[in-house]
Amino acid sequence: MPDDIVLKVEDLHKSYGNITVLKGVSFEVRRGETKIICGPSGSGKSTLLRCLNLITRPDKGRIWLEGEEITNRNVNINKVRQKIGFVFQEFNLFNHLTALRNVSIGLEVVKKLKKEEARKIALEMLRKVGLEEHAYKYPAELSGGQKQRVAIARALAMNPAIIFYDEPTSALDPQLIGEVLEVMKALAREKVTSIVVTHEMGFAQSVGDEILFMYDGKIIERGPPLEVIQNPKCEQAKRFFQKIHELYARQGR
Amino acid sequence: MSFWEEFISYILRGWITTLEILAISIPLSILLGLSLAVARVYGNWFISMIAGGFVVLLRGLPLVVTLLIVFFALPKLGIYFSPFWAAVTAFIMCSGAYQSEYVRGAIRSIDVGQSLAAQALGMNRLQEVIHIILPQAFRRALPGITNEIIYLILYSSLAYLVGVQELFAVAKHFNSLQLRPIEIFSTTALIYAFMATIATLFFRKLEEKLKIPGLETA
Repeated sequence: MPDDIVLKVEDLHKSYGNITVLKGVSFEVRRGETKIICGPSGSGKSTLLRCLNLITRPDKGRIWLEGEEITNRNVNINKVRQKIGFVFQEFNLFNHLTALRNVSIGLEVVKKLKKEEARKIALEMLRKVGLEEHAYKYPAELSGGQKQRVAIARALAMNPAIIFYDEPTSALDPQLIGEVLEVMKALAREKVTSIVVTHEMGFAQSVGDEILFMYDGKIIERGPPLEVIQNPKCEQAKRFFQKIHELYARQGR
Repeated sequence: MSFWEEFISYILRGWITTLEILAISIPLSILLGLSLAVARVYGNWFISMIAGGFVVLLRGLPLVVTLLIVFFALPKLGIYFSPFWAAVTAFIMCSGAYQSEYVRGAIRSIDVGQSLAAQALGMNRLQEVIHIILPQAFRRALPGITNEIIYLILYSSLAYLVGVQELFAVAKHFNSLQLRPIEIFSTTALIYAFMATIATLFFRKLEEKLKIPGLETA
């Protein structure tokens, strides 16, 4: 496998009971790439991300992270997850810790860094997402957009090979979405490798390298964002982007 | 020696014994409560079943019966306790069993998202429980735990049944010598009420200290 391929996914399948959520998904992510995944709800996007960091075990198919097959049973899952940053739709910050400790706890507990060293890195990450002055606030004292930026800093602090964003702006008030997208764009321009599940087409067009359109557990269309969004080939993608377009036109975005 | 001089020297000795019982059984019962709750929520089926069975059993026995079993029945199986340690053991088991239910409920109330986030950072289950789940669950279980600790302070008097010379036993004995129940038992009652009040204030302070800014209404 060439060095610049960070993540390779081959023929991923996942079912829950008799509901099949993923029906053979394959793709690769190169270093520095921002991969956009979109598709209607229920198409398997979130399940895909969860399979990729093994929060959910895929039934079939293989995944390689930096050349190591992580679907291999002998792999240490916790070691794998350290290399994958995960940003959740609902932020999932640790409520009992300050913003700073939310970012540093992984470094202390998982990477076993000294407290002082972890703190330094955490502060640097918070600066990166523009929240240095809120370092000592607790999650409940932050706005949704600030929380999500802390969550991004938390993921970044672990120095992951790739970051997954699972609809990072879907739980936010419209006026708070911008600040999160700005941070994500800046990271994408710094060539932080990422997979972004999102319906933010403006974001997809400005920093996405490729869009994967998922429908019914499969990637049914893929290509450069501009092309796929403006001129989708398949019927399902046409309908989907049309709907998104109407929604955004209504919101004036 | 006057009645009061003698009474005070008597009662102080008993009180110290009671404080010794509590100093050991309060922290250990909290530890047992946390462990049982973690075992029930996160243990495999076997560990979870053992912990669950322990809780059901201990909650199903009157404390007096537990105490007498520990002191009189266990020696028949070759497990010997002094009166003091029999009482402490029974109190820890009983209080721990009750406390574990508050903690278990509190663990269940922590949203699963935080657990996912901990796993996504690469934490193993133990790290997740110790650093993320328990600090929050303990805080939520604290009012219930406080209740159990106050019970424990009050029912520590049951230790007199196996011959521990604690506060109540000493008072009872002294009354049989002096026959002045009003002075003797009201003083005893005041001491128990005093200890319960101190515990209440202490745990209220602790709750205040562990409060998460912004998360709860004042």
